Amino acid sequence: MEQQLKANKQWMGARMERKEDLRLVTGQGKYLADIVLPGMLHAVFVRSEYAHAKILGIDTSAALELPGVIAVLTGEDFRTEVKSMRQPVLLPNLPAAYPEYYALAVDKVKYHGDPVAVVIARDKYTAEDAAELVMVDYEELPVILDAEAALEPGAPQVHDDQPGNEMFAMTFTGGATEEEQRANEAAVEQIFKTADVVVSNRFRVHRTGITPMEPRGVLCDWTMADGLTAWITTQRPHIDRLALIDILDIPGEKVRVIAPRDQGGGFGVKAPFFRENVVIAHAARKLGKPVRWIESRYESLMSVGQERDQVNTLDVAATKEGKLLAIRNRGVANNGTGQTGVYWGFVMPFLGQVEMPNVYTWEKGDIKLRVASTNKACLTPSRAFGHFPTRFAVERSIDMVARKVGMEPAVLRRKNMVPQLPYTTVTGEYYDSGDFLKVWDNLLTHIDLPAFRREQAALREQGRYIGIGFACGAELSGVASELLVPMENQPGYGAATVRVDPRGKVLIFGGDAPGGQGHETTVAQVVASTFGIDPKDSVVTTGDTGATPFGAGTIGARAGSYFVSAVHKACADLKEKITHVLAHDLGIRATVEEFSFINGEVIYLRDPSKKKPFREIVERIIMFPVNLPEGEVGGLEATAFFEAAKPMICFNGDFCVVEVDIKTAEFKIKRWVTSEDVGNVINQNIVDGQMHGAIVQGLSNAVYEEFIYNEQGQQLTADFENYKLATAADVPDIELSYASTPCPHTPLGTRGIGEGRPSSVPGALSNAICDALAPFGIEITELPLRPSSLWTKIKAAQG
Amino acid sequence: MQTVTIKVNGEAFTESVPPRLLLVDFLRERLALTGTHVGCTHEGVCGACTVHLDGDAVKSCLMLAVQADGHDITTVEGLAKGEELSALQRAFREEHGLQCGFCTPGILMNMTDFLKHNPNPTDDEIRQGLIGNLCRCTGYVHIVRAVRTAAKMLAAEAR
Amino acid sequence: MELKQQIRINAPRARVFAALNDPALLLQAIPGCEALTEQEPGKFEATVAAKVGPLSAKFKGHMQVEDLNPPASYTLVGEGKAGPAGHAKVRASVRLEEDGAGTLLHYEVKADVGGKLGQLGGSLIDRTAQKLAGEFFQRFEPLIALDGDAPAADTPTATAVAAATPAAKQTWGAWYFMAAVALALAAWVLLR
Repeated sequence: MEQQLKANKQWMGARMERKEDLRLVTGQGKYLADIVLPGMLHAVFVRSEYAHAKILGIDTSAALELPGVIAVLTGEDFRTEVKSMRQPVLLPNLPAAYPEYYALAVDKVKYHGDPVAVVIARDKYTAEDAAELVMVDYEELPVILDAEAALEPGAPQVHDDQPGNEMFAMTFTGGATEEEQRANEAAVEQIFKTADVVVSNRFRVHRTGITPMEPRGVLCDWTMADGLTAWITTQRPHIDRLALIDILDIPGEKVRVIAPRDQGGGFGVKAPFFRENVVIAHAARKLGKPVRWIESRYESLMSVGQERDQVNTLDVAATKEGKLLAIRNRGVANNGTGQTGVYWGFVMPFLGQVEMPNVYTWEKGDIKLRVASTNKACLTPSRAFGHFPTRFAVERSIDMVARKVGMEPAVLRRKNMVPQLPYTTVTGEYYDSGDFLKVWDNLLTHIDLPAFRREQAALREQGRYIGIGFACGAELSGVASELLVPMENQPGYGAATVRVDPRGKVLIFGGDAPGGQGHETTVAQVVASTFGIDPKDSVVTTGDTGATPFGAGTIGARAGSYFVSAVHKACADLKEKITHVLAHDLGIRATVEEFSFINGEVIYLRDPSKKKPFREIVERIIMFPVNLPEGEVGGLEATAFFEAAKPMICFNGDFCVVEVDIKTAEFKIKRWVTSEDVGNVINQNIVDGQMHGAIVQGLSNAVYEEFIYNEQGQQLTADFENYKLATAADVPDIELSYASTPCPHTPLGTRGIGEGRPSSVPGALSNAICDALAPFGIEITELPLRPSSLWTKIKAAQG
Repeated sequence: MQTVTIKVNGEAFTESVPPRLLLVDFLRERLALTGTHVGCTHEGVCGACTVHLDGDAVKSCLMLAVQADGHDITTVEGLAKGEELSALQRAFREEHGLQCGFCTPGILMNMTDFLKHNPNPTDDEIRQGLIGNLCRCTGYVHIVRAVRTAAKMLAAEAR
Repeated sequence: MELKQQIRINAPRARVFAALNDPALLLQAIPGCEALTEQEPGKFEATVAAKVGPLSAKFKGHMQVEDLNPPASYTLVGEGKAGPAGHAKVRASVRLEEDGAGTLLHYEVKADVGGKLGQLGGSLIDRTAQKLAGEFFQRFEPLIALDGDAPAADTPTATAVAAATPAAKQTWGAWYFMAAVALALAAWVLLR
């Protein structure tokens, strides 16, 4: 037994080199833009240059005359030949005013960048030239861009079938009925009336998101005999396939969707089902030729990767001893047009409000959300799905309460942190397992707070301002069906097929398509530790609906939680069979627990002389299935499904130390320290990398990136010169630490990690800046964090 | 159309190209060397298209194929000698300096040039040197470590 | 984009006002005008073509006069489309003030630029508009000095505009600014 555990630990937790890397460092990766089919045509979209306008007419004649142009399709082709995008498979089970829309704009364009036509040509350059020749006649309509203004009576209507521009509204607290909710509101109001301390603020977070380095793409091949094969940059090929079946009305046996083996990041941006998928598929079907669209960065920044964009009016009540009492929020989210399937933009702010209470014990909460349609691009999911703004709001409020009661913010947090799990928050979110206090205490070992305060005071004498800021949060770790079915109308279970081959190699198939998380490696490590073989003897295939079990997608940290658990289950099933046959062959009675799979051998623990090489026993079962024990049949392949009864979470805390130059208002991060509960680790390098990446994304969002629309709804940040991503010189090194608790609900104790990680960043950073500038009484309630806005605040405070 | 002769990874190619064909498209579409990636609409900001022109790192989305006529181009596919990976390639694997890999070829090409001129860089210098390459996945931490490790490897190999 | 400037022209005010109303003279100051048609009194449609390297761009615009107050001031309102490069809406107020023997011309132009042109960044548009306005006046002034009357009848462009009504002729000033701005920026975009 000891031996087995030791051997398993060799691969579990290891800092193993990734299997993906050899092909990626030699330029042998195969991303969507690298896939070519003979006779492939190229598609370029014509997009609206107005934020809101009627389409009076589209003149495609000049474009069609250009040699090499095969076809130009417009919205009319889609209105008449293909179903609308509003199909049940793409609708959440949440009550919202879903607007009708088609794959290309019909009648109206509703945001700057709305796709209006598509040109198909023999080569990409010709297609681009032809796209410029498509003449669209627009009649401008009044533009509405601000979410709160959009909800006012008399505002310009974005969708004819959504009067009032309200996409979605919900009360998250108090109960299911209006009566219960109103009673709760009154009770909360009572708490606020009598509380010692109340902080109330309007928190604004700008429009930003996690654009991946690889833009989107779709390649469709259509033949009469086999139907549609679609390569899509997608995190959820199995769901995309269902949508293509339903919208294009193609029988299911004739639709196959493949996510390329290599994808240049997803981060949620590749999780919705996009109109372009339908356009390209339909074009391929009409023309009977393969058609490929590769999104330009310009298109990408116009249409996707835009998230956050919320105003949260947050009130927090506490006692003078720093005990948090009640949390009340009125959230308004700017959804843009809402015309992107699966999420329709609003599911993100929905989850953001669910997560608003964060990890604190509140007596009561009163949390409401309204989501408004505007003439901006529809929100696309972005890592820290919906809760980047809400986490910022609550973490800033905690610090304000701490300042009012004269308590260290780190201490106040600990005082109010959920002490024991499982726990259900005031919005009904379920925290399954973990030890928040352990993680928090670990974080605090990395800073001597009293010493810091002394240093801070001394430096203030010299006119230098340093500060420390904390933030923490619980992130989704896999999404159980209990939450995913209402939220996205999709199942949450993880699925894996494990096939052992007669040479002792193991092939693993999973339906969720990764974009850089290293699933090929982590899964190989799990298989290696389970079967006692080398990770190099495993091959992982993902993302092909024709070859993998059904999965809802690589979303919400499902791999470490759901996918590997399903892999482990399938391997466990196969171990049962292998040991059953081996025991039979050895003439002994033994159960699977009495065998050890180690170093390529299967060994009977009671008598280690009784053993067989893994390679031999599996070959025997697959190739020579004679004289098997009663009831056994040959072959070694298993498919397993894993579902956690309830959604799972993982907890993390951050602090950062910052120095602010009050003359220029520039701030420099001196230290960024994290403490995480990641459950049992499979590959430490991969976990570390996820944390680094998430924190830098959070910094980039909080400080540098901003999607800007002018008053006419013109989007002004559609290239990397204007939409600035953080470079290596802009961000600090990051100190990571771990204080994990194995997850009791997964077979390996692993947790899915990394999804929500960026959301603690703006809170920690702005708390640090406010702490540094405490003598000036500055409180930050808006993002992005820019020296320019900070300078104004400092000057105002200096009087 | 113009006829150009361009050496790519040591092999000479003579092709007839339209003057406006970008070098990155020439490499990817004409020569099927898809290791060089396109990450922006030719702003030249993301750096995923970085290759070497006569040994110097350049952004191939900002060049025309005709400008490379008579010159030597090295792409990421030309970094390894057969199966022997370059120091940077080995270091990136060791230090987990990549996740999705989309920005990686550009970074490898840029840093290969960088380390030639700066064989013993500080972390700050590496970070400054990486300004021309955007990465979304890694947060740059492991990339900086990988470049440092590669510098050490190269120094050891030189001895 | 907002542009507010004043410029001194070495010619009497009445002459300047007349020149700004003279389509034939202004035609010489505006390169590439292909067509001018009057839709209604005071409303014009114009097409200006330009070849930038191997690429051609065509700008179609509508202009109309408002608040006509000779010889002192007028306002022009217009919009133009530069095909795939984008579109612009312009409002230009022109005021002429006597300054000794010369004229102080005050103009204030407000333009909303959209599409790819608008994404180039406001400061670039402002600077380019200033530069082009300067170039216009450099051509305009000598033309006034040369010839204050209608051009010779055999000038090709003269026939196209001979039918223009007096009130409508004032469209040219601000229309040039807009077309020139759109032209330059489209060129920038197309050549990127």
